[in-house]
Amino acid sequence: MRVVIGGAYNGKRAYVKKWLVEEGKTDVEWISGKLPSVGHQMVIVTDLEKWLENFEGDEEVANKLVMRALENRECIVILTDISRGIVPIEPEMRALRDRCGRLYQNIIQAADEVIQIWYGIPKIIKKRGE
Amino acid sequence: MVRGKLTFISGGVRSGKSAYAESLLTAGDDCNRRLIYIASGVPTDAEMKTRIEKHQQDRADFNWQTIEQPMNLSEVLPFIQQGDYILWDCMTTWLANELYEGWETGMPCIHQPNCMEKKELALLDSIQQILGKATHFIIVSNEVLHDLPSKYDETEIYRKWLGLLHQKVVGMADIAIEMEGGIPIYWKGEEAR
Repeated sequence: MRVVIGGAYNGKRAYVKKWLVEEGKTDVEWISGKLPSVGHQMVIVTDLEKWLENFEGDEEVANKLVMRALENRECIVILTDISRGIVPIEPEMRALRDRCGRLYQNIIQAADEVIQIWYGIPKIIKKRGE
Repeated sequence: MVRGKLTFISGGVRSGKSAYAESLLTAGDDCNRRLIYIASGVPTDAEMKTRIEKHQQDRADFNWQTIEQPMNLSEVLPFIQQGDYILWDCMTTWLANELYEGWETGMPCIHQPNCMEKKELALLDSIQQILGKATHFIIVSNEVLHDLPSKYDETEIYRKWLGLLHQKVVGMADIAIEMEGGIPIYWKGEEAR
């Protein structure tokens, strides 16, 4: 599993699209704001924070569902960092940021490679075996 | 003709962006260089006025010439001379000014189709023209995109444009720096320092 993480509107998707072309992986399904069904086909997953916002269930279940959907397959997860703003006035948004941060840590821990994107520039911040 | 050097610096508020940008332009032996400061902040309240005065005092040790340019960067072009060292502070205030141009008529740019697209092209063209003369041009901006999306559409439009323009400028830049607590993190062009 690869993770591409960065702020909003920083060029994360464009980076992944370019990478897919370079790798010749053109026939890949993009899944936005929901979880891919468990399986072995390669997928690109985006907007997990939106899925999490709409998920009605406890955090442990959410984390398990995400990890199960991502395991045993080639996948790229695009994570939008939402953790560095002013503390939101709404308690549910504060809770979302917390749950999202912990979910991201789980995903990143399981990832083989993590690439941070800053205005289109990639930086590898984790690579398994290095 | 050799293009001048373009540096992009962004960071959080009070991360030392301006101070570092100023130091990059004033370093070295050439005491006769012309230092130009393009200011895009508009004092809309007392706090903003104090903030601007603090920036002015910080620049007092060197002979900076200040151009107040809240919008339309192309208007600075007649004042730019060969070999200038130029600091533009900052793109975030400029973008807000441009997006809300015409607010008093009830039809600001942000609600007009194709309005910001034109301003984007004009901006990128002005940057290229400045680089045709300046020795070093530094653009300062802010990091505001690592946050929850806003529930206000206008704020999301603002964030989208800021991210897009940052990507364009970083793409053009020789050096791109993210400031963290006064420490410059070079994302691009560290060897060109």
